[in-house]
Amino acid sequence: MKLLSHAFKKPAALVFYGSFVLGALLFFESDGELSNLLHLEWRVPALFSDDLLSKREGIWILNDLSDELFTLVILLSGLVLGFSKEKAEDEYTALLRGAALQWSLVANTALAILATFSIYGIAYFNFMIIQLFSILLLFNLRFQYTLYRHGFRA
Amino acid sequence: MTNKLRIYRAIKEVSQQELADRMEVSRQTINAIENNKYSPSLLLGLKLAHFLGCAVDELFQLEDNEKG
Repeated sequence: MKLLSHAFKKPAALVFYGSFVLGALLFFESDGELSNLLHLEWRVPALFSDDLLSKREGIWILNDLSDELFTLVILLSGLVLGFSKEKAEDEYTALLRGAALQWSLVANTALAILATFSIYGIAYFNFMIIQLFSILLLFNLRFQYTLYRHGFRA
Repeated sequence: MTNKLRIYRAIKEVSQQELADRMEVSRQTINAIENNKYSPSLLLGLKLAHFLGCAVDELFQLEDNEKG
């Protein structure tokens, strides 16, 4: 599999984990100061929307873009982090990356099943939002842990 | 699968790092192969055998339950 250059690793890690923390603060503080500080209301075209959270005018809605931008940044940086080369990239690290990806898919699915039968109402909706990012977080953390256990991290 | 990589490496008098550098893999990969934690690709297996001056089936052996 084609991977990105190792040069992307550190910046991607900084952006991914940093924006993850900031995004989490924003998510759990929807009426707080941080949300007001990062408020970016724009008129955007919407393929699908409803009048529950935004007022629709034709295909346009007025929307606070900060959460969409955080989603984009977290998802892209998570992908770049996971799929950029290690310093010592070879067939063994590629195997470990594949194994971490497999593990994260199983773990994420297990979490979803557990949550389905234990979280209800709006809280489940919040969990579904977290699920957008959890697989990338699990994959990157698992991969780094695996590399550490196999002696790739001094 | 088992291997005699450590033995042939000792005969050749190269360290894990030196062998890794020659094979263009990490030292951890060589270590994992020697400890039977990882079975290398055919290409890497052939390169190892060629460098260590032995046949591939002298370097790597199938275990009884792996033989067809």
